[in-house]
Amino acid sequence: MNNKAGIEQYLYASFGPELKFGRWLMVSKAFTDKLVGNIGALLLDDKVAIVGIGYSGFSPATPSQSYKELIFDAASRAYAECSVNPRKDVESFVCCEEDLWEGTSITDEYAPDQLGAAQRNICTVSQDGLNGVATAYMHIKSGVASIAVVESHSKLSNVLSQSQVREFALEPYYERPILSDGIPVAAMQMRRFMHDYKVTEEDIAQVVSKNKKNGLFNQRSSYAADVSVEQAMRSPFVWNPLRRIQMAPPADGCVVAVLASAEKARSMTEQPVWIKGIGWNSASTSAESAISSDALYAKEAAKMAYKIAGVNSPKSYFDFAEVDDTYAFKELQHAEALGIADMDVSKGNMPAVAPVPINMSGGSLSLGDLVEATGLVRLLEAVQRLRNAERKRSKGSKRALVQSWRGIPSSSGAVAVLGVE
Amino acid sequence: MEYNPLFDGTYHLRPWVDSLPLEYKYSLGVAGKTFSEGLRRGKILASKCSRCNESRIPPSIYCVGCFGYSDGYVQVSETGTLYSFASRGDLVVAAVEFKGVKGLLFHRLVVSDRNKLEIGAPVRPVFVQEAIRKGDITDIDHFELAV
Ligand SMILES: [Zn+2]
Repeated sequence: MNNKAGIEQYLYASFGPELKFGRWLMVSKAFTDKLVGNIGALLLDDKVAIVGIGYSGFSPATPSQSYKELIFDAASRAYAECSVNPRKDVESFVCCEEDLWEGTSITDEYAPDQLGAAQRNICTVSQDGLNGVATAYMHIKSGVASIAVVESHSKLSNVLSQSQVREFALEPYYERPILSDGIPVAAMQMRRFMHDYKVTEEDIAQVVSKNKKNGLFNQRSSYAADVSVEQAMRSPFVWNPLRRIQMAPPADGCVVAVLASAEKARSMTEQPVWIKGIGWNSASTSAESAISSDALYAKEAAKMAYKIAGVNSPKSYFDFAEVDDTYAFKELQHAEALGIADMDVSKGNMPAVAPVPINMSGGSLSLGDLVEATGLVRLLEAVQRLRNAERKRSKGSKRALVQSWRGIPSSSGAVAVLGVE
Repeated sequence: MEYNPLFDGTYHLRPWVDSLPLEYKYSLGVAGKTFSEGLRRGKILASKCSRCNESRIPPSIYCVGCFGYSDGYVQVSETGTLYSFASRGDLVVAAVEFKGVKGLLFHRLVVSDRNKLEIGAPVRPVFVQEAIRKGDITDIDHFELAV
């Protein structure tokens, strides 16, 4: 029974012959409901903004700080930026971490204190930091929280068994006896991608050279260098066709982001960066999706985020993109999946200039692999660039695309659409 | 004088190092056991979905495509094709696909002539002697080019 019929029946039971009056009341109620709804939609601004972002580390090693101190450092900066007291104002904390990289199981139990989150609403998302942003975004959208915090970090310099942890991620019966530390998965995917999209060694060397050089202008880069395409092509193979210089080396660091509802955001910062859309996806645990030439997870996550944000033609919508480049070929693969590359297979190669500038920050190739924090690093770089452009009143950078991938052997990723308007 | 770590050049940089041995058993399950028994008999088995007929390796009792129940098993063709490969020194690791079967099998590839190594090349499994097979993936010693 629909509501209208229900009300009518109730009115008849209550008023009997005076139903005429009841009908009038109903019409009137429908009208006022609609009116209130429309005014409400105008007044109710349910957007979500990033109002503060802080970071620490961004170094190949951070021996003088524990991971908790790295988090405290980044969190303090994020809270200071938007004048938030975590002990009172924050209604949801989301941490993104993974037991084996931490060296402690049930590692979420060690998360609250250094974030100011003791005895408060905290949960761990065992995923990339950008998935944590999606969780916090939903907490705010649903009204569970009006201010939420997302944290993720890397202390890879403390992980003495890095290749064993990667090996542990492989399927134990079919894959572990064969695939060494998992790096062959990336190398095989790279070969198949190059084959299907007719991408050359030089195309990939260009990504390396571009990102390493871009990193020279970024204070946070640990591995930036003036590397030419020719130099990149001479780097030794780790697993042919994957060369050492095409892999993001490990780095330590922490990023903490503060998200807020539109109502709160405007009083917390003069420069809110709006999350216009967000999406996430996992392709499949199957081997063929781990080494597929198409990044289906990125394609599907983008579809979800673009739908929420109303992005119809990504190539013209975005001013720049921060895309996962943990391995150099992944930048090209992800750009294609996100619909921001002009990859014309029939032409046989990649164009020199992409329609949307990618990884002007230097990407992971310059900043390093920060495991679960990598998505938040891409987010940090996008937020800083959007804010700087606004400060300089430059019109070029108002809309950004941010994408993360969870690394080998996964086919999981997330996408966020950011804007300052 | 009261101890101040800031005046100590090295002590606070000294980490605590620890390690724990971890050991697990991994239950192969119904589909895994069937695959394992296939290996002992020198066969590579794929599962077959009872709803959409999709075959898949490694086998599973659920269909990845339609979530149907897969209770049938089929032997894959004698030769597969090279989906992709990676190499380090003499070691070549390959992803092999089989006609009409979704999924891939990873294994070592032994080739005498590297020039013949290319995506799409036909390959076949070489099993170890039946007497020493254990039902492990290494019952296949390696794959070789079938040209
Ligand atoms: Zn099926």
